[in-house]
Amino acid sequence: MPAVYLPRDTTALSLHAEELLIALQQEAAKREIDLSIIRNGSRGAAWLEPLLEVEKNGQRIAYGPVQITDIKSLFDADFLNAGEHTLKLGDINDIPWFKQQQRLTFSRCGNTDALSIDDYVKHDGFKGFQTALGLTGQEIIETLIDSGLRGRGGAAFPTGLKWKTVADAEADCKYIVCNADEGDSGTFSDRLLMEGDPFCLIEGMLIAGIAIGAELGFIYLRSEYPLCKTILDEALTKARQTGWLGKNIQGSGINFDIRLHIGAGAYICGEETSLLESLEGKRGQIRYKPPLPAIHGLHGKPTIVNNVISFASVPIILARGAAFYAQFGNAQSLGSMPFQLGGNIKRGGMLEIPFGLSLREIIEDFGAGTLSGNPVAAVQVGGPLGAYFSADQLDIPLEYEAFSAAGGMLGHGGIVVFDDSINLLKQARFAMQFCALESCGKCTPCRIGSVRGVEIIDKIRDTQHAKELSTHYELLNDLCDTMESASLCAMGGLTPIPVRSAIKLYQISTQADKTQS
Amino acid sequence: MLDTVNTITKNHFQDWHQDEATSLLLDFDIDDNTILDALHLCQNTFGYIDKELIPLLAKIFNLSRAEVQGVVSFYPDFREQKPGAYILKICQAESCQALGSDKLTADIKKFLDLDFHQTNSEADITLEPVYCLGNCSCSPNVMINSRILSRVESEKLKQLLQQLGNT
Repeated sequence: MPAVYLPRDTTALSLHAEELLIALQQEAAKREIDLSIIRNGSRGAAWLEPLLEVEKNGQRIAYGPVQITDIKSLFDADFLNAGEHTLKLGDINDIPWFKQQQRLTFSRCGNTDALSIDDYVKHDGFKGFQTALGLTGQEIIETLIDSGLRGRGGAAFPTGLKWKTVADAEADCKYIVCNADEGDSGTFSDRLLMEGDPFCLIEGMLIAGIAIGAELGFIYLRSEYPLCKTILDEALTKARQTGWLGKNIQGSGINFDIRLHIGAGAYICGEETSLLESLEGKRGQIRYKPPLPAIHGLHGKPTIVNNVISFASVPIILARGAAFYAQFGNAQSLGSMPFQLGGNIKRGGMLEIPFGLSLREIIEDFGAGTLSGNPVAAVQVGGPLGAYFSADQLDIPLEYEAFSAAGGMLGHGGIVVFDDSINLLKQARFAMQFCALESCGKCTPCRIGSVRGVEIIDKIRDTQHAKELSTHYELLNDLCDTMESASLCAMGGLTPIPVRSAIKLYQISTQADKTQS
Repeated sequence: MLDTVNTITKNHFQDWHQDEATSLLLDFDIDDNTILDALHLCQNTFGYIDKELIPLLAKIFNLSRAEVQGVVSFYPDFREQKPGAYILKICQAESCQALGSDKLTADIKKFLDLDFHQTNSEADITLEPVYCLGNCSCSPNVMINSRILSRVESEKLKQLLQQLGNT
């Protein structure tokens, strides 16, 4: 029976993959063809979605982006036997966009039936778990430390060290918490992983449980991801039914289960202590640190809180070894990172590559420039708390240290491209406004500072007097200093990054305008 | 987008009745679930969080009414008024801004004669902002009930809203 792969992911669905499914089934029935349609995850090439693949002689032949009106001609062209068609892209592995990537965490995503445990196991699934079974908790943690894995959620804290702190803490009960509150705008790699390879996340959390002796894990998922919820619910149920979660997992004597909780639209709940408050059923107000969640976390117990991609990177590190993972990347940025390319971009999507490529290579080589065809004017990297860079600054290598040195941060790897229609003053205002909207309200610099920030930027917008302008800029700068040094968490503390960088670029461009006129 | 109308499920919220809520929460497992889970359950049923639900939840979770109200008001998801059969959320975050979501938002606000958090009772549509739907390589994005639509253009969205109003 010919097999067709059709992604069941938010992007493909937003581009009518579900309607395509019906059209495929109807056309196949009409032609009396028995068709097996497999629902994989997306490979991340959003610009090719919906991407159909057929299996032929062990190869995966891709067609895309496919619209409903193409279905008939695809059958006419015998696409089930890799027939020629204007949408034919050839062997998926030969497409440069994929060929130039280094898929480690996402090695299965798009390749497999997202909800088939058999398929998962066939593609090296649970190998990390098998390795972990033969190791002590300490050895698992040492492997992670040696791999150089740093938290992929944004803070980039060494994952192994975090686990070690939890392992060393004495308590009768410890917890694993997965931060799936991917609120940073411009990021969606967590979503792709959860929709396309949910068992990988489950395996990563399970290994964390083994490493520190925790028997219960939680996934805190944002409510804006309804498809993730459906898929995770199914995956968790299947894992329980097949003995990969629950008591005595695969006869190993290990007990571990995962509960899924849904957030309620608060961006701040991506901050780990706010997330823990929310998981406890409270207002998502952040906690003072210390004590760290690693010591005093969920319900006061030592807790590992990691991002989806951090957990999902653990299985391959355990399965292939720390040295294998650490051979990718540079210096303090080891391994690979899923970068997400969005905004005004021709070929957007998620690409997993080793650290070290430049922003320019990603935007020009992978992204093929702006969607509008106008020149790139600014790029925001690292979500709403990340810096804006100008078109002259695109040669910065995508590494943690290089970005800090340039006054920004890699964060969760989101890259949002703007063309020359961008109004940088408006973007600076938005950063303050977003902070005002999403602040948990606990500390004054964030709660009040953000409101005052919006007001000052409005004054900058509305004045023509040079002297007034310089007073406003000075005040804004002071305010940013206060927010940076006195806010309790990254929300207020990092909001000055997009504000300052956007203001700086705005000043440069208005200066250039004046010189020209 | 013309065929999309059939893929959007209309909200059918029950009218608020305290007795209904009581029976809905009768077997609610408070050991494995939090008040957020209970609020989601109630909002999925009634469309919003009625004032009368606050003391009910306070009793179940052994909290003060103020604490419950505090949770409800903290989270943007929880509404205090019944929404329309269609909840339209337009993404306001940076990636969608880069592809004209500001203009899209202004167009749709004008078309529906609504500001955010308001309901057009004739069209049975509630308009809400959302900050990122995680589909940033196909901006601008909107969500109608649980259906996400990408690369949205004003005119096509207006057409779709018109069709939804006729269903």
